[in-house]
Amino acid sequence: MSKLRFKYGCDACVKYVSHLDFVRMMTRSIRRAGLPLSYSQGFNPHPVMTVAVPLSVGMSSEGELMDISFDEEFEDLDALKEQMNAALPQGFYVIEIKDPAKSHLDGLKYIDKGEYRVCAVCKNAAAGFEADFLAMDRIMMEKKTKSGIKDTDIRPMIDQLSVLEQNGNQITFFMRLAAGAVNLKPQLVVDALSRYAEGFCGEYLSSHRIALLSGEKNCF
Amino acid sequence: MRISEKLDQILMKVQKPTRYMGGEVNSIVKDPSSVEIRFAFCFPDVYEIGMSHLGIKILYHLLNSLDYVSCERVFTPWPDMQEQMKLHGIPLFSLETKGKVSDFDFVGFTLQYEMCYTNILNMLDLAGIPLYSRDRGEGCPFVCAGGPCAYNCEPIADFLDFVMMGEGEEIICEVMEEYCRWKKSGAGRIDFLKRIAQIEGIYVPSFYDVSYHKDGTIAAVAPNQKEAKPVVRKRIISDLDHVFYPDKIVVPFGEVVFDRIMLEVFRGCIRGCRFCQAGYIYRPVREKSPDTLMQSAKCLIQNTGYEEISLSSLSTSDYTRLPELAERLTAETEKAKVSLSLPSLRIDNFSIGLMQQVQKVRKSGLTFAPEAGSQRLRDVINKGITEEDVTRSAELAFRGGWNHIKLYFMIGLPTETDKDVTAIADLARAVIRTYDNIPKSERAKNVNVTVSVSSFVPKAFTPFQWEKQDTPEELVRKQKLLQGAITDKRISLKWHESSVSNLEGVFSRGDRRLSAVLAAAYQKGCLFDSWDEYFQPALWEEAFAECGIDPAFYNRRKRSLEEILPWEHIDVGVSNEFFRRECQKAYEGKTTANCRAACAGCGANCFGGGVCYE
Repeated sequence: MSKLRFKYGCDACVKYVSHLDFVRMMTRSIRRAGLPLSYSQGFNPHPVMTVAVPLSVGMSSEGELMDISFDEEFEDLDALKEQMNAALPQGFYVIEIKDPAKSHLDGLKYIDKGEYRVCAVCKNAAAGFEADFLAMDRIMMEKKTKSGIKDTDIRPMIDQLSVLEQNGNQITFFMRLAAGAVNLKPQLVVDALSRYAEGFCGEYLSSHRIALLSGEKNCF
Repeated sequence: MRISEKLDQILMKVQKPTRYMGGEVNSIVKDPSSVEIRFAFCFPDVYEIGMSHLGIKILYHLLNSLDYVSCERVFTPWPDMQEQMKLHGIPLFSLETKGKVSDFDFVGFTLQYEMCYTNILNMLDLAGIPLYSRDRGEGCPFVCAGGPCAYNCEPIADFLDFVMMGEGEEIICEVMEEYCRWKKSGAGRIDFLKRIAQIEGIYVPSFYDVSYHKDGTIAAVAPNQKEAKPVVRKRIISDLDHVFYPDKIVVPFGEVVFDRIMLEVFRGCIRGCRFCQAGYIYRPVREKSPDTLMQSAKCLIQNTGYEEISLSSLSTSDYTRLPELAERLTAETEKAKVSLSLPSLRIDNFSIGLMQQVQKVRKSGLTFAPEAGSQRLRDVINKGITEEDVTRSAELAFRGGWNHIKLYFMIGLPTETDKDVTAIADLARAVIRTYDNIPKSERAKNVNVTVSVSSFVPKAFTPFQWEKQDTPEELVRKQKLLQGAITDKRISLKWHESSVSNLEGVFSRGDRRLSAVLAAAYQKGCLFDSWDEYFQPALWEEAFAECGIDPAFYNRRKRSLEEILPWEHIDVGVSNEFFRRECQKAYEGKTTANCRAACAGCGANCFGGGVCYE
């Protein structure tokens, strides 16, 4: 049995595919590619796959990670990548495959941050509004948690926030946010900006995940 | 702004956005400018239902195999999506190219059940296509239909330009070829309909005039164009081993109702249960060979990645080469790690063994369909099984480790008495007794018998096509009677909504005067009538009243055997003479042997193939 780490992406055309649908799609794609997917033992065998941090519905990405186990060893990982890409539906693509032992970390569970490009429509945006926002001690927002909706301070979950470009009434941010066990969605940051940032009023449009990190390191 | 751009603004606001996304594996996107014909294949229900249907899979890939045709799929948008579409000015669109349905050459509906009719009007409306065929001008798509309800499509006749009767694989290609010739000729809309009216199996409703007697019954149905055939005979595929079957099918992103490969082993049914329309309209029985089936199975497993394959037919146990197929298929599925499911299998030593072999994992419920509680009534409906058959099967199942058995029945059957209704409880008790009599060490711990009861709806093209249907009140009384007769806690009772069956009964044997009622009901907001949460009986009542039509005329009246039926100009190959004979035998409680045991002379041998010539 061999465990391999896949870095993959999904375009905007498939951003409505939910996490569960993605897992089923991935399983079927691997089967179509004729690859010997490993199955768990027991009464209801399921494929041995771990998705690092499930992508929210509506989000595209170029930096997703998952580990997949196979019953065989693979010599040529580039060939494997081509085989997978031929079997995947349009919009999904494998970028690179690696032995996790050669990765920066061995378990996907150590991931704690994600980087995003986030688009919003803004009615107005005064210069420097994001700096004032980041200077706040606490940023209280209603956030969905495992135990229901709770007032949460999201400031510690924002690692970086900057304006990439502003084009007419469309603004693009770069954000580095908590991802994984503690997870912050870019949309909530845009909502928080609208509520608290002096001189910003906007509406969330879309986001694109660029990478998943552990500490400061790219996890692949 | 293009539809696809507008969609991007709304899909986050609706449930299950993958319903409207397209782009699934094996879906086929062609450049509209590269083809002669664009065919919008419409399923008048939500995506998950439509994508579970075998016919659409076959015809979608068949049409797309013609290089001059592009076939795209369209489903009824769920009400939340319809709201968003209206808000953003999005017309009904296809999944493949997100093209406006009104831009297509053909808009084809598959009619699987009567309660989808308002959805058809809704889809035409969302597409901006005039509802009535008479209001469609040059340049408008041709609206057509096929499928089991097409045989009596009179209630929606006013909305359809033409109908394809029977199995579609050949006829649809003939229509496509004729369309190309017609397009080149530059002739008008009616000319195309006249051309195709000459193809066997094509029915153009507007080419027929229906006149009525004073009492509302039909006086005559007569063609008003010389091209229209006095009687339209359905089409069948004689040789299923040499007909198109897709080697790949679309694999949805979201879960659909039947999310698996369906392997069609044969068409038709030898049984002749007198209530069952499917048992007559698909005659004669024609099988596929194990070689053909294995070839399909291998391709489909490889091209879809599906983890489950199921055999599909009306009664899989009647497949003459089942042992051979089962052996070869289990070898293949084990190798490919695919699970094999075997619905509609009669329970006997062979099938129990097979199920134990393939369903290694869970022993979920087994299903039997005695359909009626008493032997007398089972003979009336020609359900050729005895109480002993049921208990013997149940014993095999219990000894095989199963402990949940579902029994399917109907109430409201012709000649039914209260004794027949309570006999349902007796039969369920007999099954429980069978379990109790098996030594504890040889059976599972607990037992559960589910009695599932639906209401009988008389259908066209069956020996019961002249019968009256029970009122909803009478059905509820019978349900209560049955409930009172079930005292064992190990037996649970389930039944279906009877007011939906009531309306289904009106439309299944309706005539063209009902088109007005449908249009009125739709205008009032009736939609998704087969979904309990959307069915609005009060609005339907209003619609009938406004149109001055009494629904009881259609379902509460015992018709005379001589009455001209609304579908009498359609020929499914089974003669009315045969249906009259069967109806008489039903009253006498006499059974008719299945097609393989003895030919009952139904008329289906006119097609020159299948079981009739084995």
